[in-house]
Amino acid sequence: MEAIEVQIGKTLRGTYIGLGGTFASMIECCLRKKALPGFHKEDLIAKAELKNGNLLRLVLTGKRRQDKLMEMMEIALPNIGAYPDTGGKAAFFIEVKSEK
Amino acid sequence: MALITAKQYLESVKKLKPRVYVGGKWVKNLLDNPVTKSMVMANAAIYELAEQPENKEVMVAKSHLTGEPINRNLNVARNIHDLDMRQEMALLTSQTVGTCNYRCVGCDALNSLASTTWEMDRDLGTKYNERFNNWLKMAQSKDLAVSGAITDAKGDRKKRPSQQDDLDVHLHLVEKRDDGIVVRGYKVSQSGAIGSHETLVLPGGALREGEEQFALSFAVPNGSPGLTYICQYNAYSAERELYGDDIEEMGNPVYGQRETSTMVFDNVFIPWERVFLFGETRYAGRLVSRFAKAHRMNCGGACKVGFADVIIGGTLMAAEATGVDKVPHIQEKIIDMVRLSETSHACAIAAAMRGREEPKGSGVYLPDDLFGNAAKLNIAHGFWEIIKNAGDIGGGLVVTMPRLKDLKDPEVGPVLKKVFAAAAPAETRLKIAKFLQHWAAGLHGAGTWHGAGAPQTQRFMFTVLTDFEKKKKMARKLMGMKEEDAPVKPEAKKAAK
Repeated sequence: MEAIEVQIGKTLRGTYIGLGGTFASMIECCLRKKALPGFHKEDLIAKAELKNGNLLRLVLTGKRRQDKLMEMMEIALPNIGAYPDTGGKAAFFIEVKSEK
Repeated sequence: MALITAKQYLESVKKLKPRVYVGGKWVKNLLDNPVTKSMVMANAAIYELAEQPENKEVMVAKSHLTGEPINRNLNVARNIHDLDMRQEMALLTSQTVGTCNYRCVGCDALNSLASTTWEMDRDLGTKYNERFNNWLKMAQSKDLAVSGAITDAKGDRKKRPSQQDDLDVHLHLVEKRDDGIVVRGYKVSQSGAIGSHETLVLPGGALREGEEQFALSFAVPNGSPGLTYICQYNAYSAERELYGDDIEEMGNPVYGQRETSTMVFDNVFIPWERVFLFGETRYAGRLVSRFAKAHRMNCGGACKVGFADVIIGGTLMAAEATGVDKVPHIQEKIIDMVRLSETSHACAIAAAMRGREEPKGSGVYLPDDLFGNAAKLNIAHGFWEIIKNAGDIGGGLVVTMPRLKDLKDPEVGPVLKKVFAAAAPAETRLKIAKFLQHWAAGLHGAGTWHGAGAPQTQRFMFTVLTDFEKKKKMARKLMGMKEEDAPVKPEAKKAAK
């Protein structure tokens, strides 16, 4: 299993757990397909980059509050088979920011 | 958390955002569209059944992986009792929702995978069974709704998959990467993936050497990017859209007809941890035939029997509402309906009772093939008879009735109430007629014929599974006929084969 931590700003955190390869699915979607899982639009991702093989940096288009960004991730992750978990040590990280 | 409630399932569905198209529209929220909502509500009812103490024996099993209680839809049968409860679950779910248990195909697919991945690991030294068990543990721990996708679009039936002009008519491999595979193609007539968390994908049939790119099995989360669902659309979909929340007008108000879709895989990425068959053509046929073995017992001998139960109930009420319930030929037809459905159920019970571990040492139990095929073939023909009798006893009203709400119209309502009042008020008669219309003029006749494989496949299985030489030998013995006097010598028959 893979634990993935979503990081938004300095305080908002969410941990998700899925089968091995779940982070790879997220990379495939955001980097190759330029889309966020569960949001079938191509204009949502302003920037996506992979750092050190375990950190995905996402910048979403437009102006979005941090709690809205977290709501979007709460939809994105279950749609690739990752489910909320109580926490623990994550091996992968997704840092999400709003463009403005 | 190995069992979730219907409410928790419905909460989880709000976060599922598969790309779904229904009759000219893209569906943003499955619970907002009346057609997709009916599918989701049927799934919720299946979760609810597992919450009810009286159904625990049928709906809840113990995971062989964790020892935790799990929904039987995610159980791998480990003994005869499991097989028997599996077919009882198919009966109960159909009686409850009058449509598909959309977790049913997934259940039979996972049993086939449990058996075949174990066999591949034994024979080939692969790690598929370990992978599959990891996936299953996760599905069980979250009590995921898992559907199954088997049938390829197939294209020109004269050609093998690799000879097709468009390879996409069979789901196939596009790219092999370090972290997984990329697949594309179509799966058709798929039941209920839209409202499920995951779908197990199996090959559409047996494959030959050289067809490795089609020998694929995997689990895919249903919101996976690149995956689109184009839903069926018919008169019942249009009716449901027309009435919206005013569902009382419908024959099966909450759960609807059976909802299927065409799944379009447009370069979908599948991580290795979710891949359970990759190019092993020799095992593709086994995987599919084990699925069929399980599904014919459940779909043919139990699910459709549950449908028959509610149709018989509705038909009896129609007879009572017109005052013909004591007429001998009506009673005879009702008895025929019971005979046809219970014979199929008997075949399902026999398939479970004669089930066996397959392969030996795997710990996975599968139903008896011959009885399972008998259940399906019997109900394929029997179901037409059953709905014919429902239409017969229900009368022309089943297809000539006005809308139910026309009874409330100030202008035509009073006259309609006079026209259709019989041994019961017009409202009662029309409500029953609408229910029978759902069956007799609905989608389930052809659905039952083709579901779990069209009858020709069961006839073929009969020819494979039946020892005709043994039967001839028994007949010769009774006749006192010597082997050399037989019209065709057993040895000649063997040589011809």
